Amino acid sequence: MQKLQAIGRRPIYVLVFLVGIIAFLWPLGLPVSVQPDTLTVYKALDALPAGSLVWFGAEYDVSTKPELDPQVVAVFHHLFQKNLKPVIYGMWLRGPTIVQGLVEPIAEEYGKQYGVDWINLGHKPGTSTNLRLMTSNITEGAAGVDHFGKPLANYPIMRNVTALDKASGFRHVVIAEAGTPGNREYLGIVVKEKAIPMSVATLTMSIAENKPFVVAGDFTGQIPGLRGAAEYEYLVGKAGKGASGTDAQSLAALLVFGLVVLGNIGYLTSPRR
Amino acid sequence: MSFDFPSLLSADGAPVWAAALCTLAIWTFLIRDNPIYRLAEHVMVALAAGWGVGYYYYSYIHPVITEELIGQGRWFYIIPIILGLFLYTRFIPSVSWLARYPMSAYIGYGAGYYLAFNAKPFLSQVTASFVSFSQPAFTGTLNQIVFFICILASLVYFFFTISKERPAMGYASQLGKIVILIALGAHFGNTVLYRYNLFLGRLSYVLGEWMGLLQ
Repeated sequence: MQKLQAIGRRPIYVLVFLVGIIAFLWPLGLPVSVQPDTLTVYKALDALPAGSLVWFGAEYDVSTKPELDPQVVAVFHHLFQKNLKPVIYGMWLRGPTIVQGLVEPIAEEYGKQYGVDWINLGHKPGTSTNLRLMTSNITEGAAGVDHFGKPLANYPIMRNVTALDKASGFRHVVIAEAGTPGNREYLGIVVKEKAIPMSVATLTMSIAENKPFVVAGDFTGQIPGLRGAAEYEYLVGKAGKGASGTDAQSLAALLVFGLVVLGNIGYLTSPRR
Repeated sequence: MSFDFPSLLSADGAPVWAAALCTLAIWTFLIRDNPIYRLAEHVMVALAAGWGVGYYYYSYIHPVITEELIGQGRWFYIIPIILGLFLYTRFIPSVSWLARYPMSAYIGYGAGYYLAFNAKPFLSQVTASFVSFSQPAFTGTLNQIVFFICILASLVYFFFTISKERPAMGYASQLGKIVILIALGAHFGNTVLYRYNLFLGRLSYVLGEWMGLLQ
């Protein structure tokens, strides 16, 4: 029994690999129930009038792509289904580039034209200071150019947009965030000062951290991790990587649960305890 | 089920091979530190740094200098540019003291900024803890009561100036400790699943995009 406390890391790695491979190759098709936090985000975006601008904060990097990409894809399906106009921006260097790659095929699927129906302002240095500048002057905040270095004045979507505020037509902010700078910066600058509602697509790790802000009404809701992606995919009717990852995630949770129980049995039966 | 690797020599296939092989190279670290892992790590760091410099230049530095500084005559931009360049004087010992000026400005601005703007989001957390016990459903009322008791107990745990030997304070502090441990447990569980999800993302890429095993 005491050996249960001393299981090496390599056998655990092998088990983790096997569980993942089995779940992907022979999916169980476990049902996905939609949690209230995800549903609130969906309903908030669903209720926006067509043509509204939605600010999308791409606040993550390659290291968190596996969790946040499926959420971003599901949300953009929804935005384009509802004929909303996303404006992408990132305080994180690589965020807008990652999101650009995800959005292009979705925009093509819905016949949405870059610069007319959506735009990517790219990453600009200055983190929260620059975000604050965006709320008074987007052209200055973006150095007058989009993600590709082309003048913003060339794009019809930016014709009447001067700042990240309600007067310019922004009705909601969605951010996919993996840390700082992220939701706290948006909360102080955009939600509190500009009164624009905000939803957060977040990592599984940050669910508990963000929950107080959801309860306090600071965030409209949060899409929680890979599971949240599966829920949002279900809501928009577009099964993707969130849904396919849910089986593996559930089996992994069971595996970890089993290992924790085994470890504790080893501890409780240990004579040295 | 059969393998369907993309062509290594095609424009679409080559990046998939590169990404998949880099993923496998990083995974070799699970066995032990090795040269293959080191190679992938260095390639990643070098690519990220080089790409970042290029991106900053084309999406910010170039338009700001050509359009705003020269085009619109905003010559005062030269002041922050010079301050920024002062940072590099750290590499010249005789004038390295100049690097303190931009750092002073940066730290002064940062401290002031955070004091001015960061309190607001946290104040709403305080007011959100003033809960109403009269909820439409019994479960709602119960939730609020549990919420209220847990907040008080957690706060009592952090009262270090009042003796915990008094029974009321002692029990409340113990409850606070349990509440905090439950919260940490939830956070830890989420973190474990988050790490696993990151692995699943790459596994899905290797099995799907590279090996062609997933539909």
